[in-house]
Amino acid sequence: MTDLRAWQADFAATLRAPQAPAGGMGVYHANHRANFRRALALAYPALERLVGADYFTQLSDEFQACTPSRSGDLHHAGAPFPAFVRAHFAAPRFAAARYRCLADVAELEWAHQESWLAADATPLDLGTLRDIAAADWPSLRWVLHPSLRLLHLASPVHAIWLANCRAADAALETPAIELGEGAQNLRLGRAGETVLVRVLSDGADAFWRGLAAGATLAEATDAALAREPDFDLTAQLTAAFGDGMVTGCELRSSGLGSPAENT
Amino acid sequence: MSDRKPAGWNVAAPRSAGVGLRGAHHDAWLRQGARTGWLEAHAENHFALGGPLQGLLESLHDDHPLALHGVGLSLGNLEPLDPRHLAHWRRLIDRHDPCVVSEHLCWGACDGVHFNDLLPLPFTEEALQHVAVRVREFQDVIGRRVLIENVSSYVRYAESALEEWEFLAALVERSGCGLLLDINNVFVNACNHGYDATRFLRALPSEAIGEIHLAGHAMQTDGERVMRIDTHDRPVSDAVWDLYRLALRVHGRVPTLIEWDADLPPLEKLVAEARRADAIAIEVCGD
Repeated sequence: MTDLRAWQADFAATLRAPQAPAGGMGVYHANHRANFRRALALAYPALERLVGADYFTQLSDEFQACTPSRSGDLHHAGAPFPAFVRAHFAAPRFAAARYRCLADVAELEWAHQESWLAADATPLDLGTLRDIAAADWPSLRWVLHPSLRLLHLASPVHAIWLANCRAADAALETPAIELGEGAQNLRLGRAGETVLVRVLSDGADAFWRGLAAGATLAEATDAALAREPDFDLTAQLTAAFGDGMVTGCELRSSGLGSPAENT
Repeated sequence: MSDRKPAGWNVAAPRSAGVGLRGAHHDAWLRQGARTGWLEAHAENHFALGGPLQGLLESLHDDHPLALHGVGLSLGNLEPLDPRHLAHWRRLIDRHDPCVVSEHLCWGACDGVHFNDLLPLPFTEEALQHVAVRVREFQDVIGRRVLIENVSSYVRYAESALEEWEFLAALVERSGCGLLLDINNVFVNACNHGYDATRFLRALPSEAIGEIHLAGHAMQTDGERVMRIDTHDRPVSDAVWDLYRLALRVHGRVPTLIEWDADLPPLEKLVAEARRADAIAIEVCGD
């Protein structure tokens, strides 16, 4: 296989070299970068809008040079991009808050893409709980929708994201952006054809992280109350079922860990 | 070849021309129902485990025969075929039962780095042997005959022992695959590399051609040299329509698909291109 291997290795080296070659190889050199950038922009539309098309191209080229695609399916290529953006904007010249939030926007956009493409599951109806004795509710463990993603981000990105990727939809009210508001907890999950993005209080974040880690309803509620004495369990349960984030529940006998009921 | 041959084995696409399914047209397709003979989706756009795109394909498949066209397997890679990619293909085929499955005669990765492009192979005996084994492997995994598409190219391997059409005909013989004849790519390569496109078309085995692609291309000047680039961003050129007529005269009526990927016009314009292909097919081959 020497000739074919040598041909492909030479071709690959030319494609990866920073300098664009002349002639036909130049077309491939440009395509290689343009295809990658297009896929990245599909996953990160708000970030592209925030930094501008030219700067986004520069970010894409630098990111591709150090983290090239490792799959024939370009949908995966953007996974390490939020970490790259975070490192890029950690430089002292980007100390202002408007730069610091960019990596958080990227993280939200990748979680959005993952949620959008996650496996399907049928949400559980809230009425199902009526079949379970109230005394057993604290011992229930939830099976959560595969599209659920929980984020804790240092900047208030929800409003920034809404303003920059969905501004065209006039029906959506965009909240005011206050960069000084501080950290934000977000819950993402797909409902029908939409990925819902919900802002969570600290208590609600602890509650959802507990459920996602397999805690019982009582354990997750205790964790939430420890973070937030006013935690509203009813509101979170209504939201959880209303958004279709619960796809099953199981009741385990205390200490035995064997499912007594599976839905 | 494995024994796994589900319904749909060698089912042909409809005679009426189809168009490639693109994201910008999803809503238009769902709103207005059937408009062309069939649809072709890029397989990798539907590799996700769930989400609205899976349901979309099912809805559209209710009204249109559906073909799946791969752009990322890179059968000419020297590294083994990616088992995850193959598993996605199988799952997609099992779920949607497409009328046609196709991929490209190309390579796209080296030492684990993917270029996500349809890179040309040298037309050597060594490359032929390698790709024939890979095509058989792919066909065994999916349990179907695959159509292999000729790609456009902007460079040429000086020591190619075979002409491109000889390579394709030999690949059919050795792997049992069919051909997806992209006439725009034939024209682009004929212009870029200075050969006679009609010779290419006449040399292919008629019985192997399961589908024809038509698309638009651009011209780019590089110093003195004019290069044709397979951009899929404009209508099919008159020269390519002429070659389409010739291909139908030589090979008979073949299921035809219009591709348009960049600077997408309203869906109506693609549908009009498909109707033009139908009119030409009737003019050349009769109804």
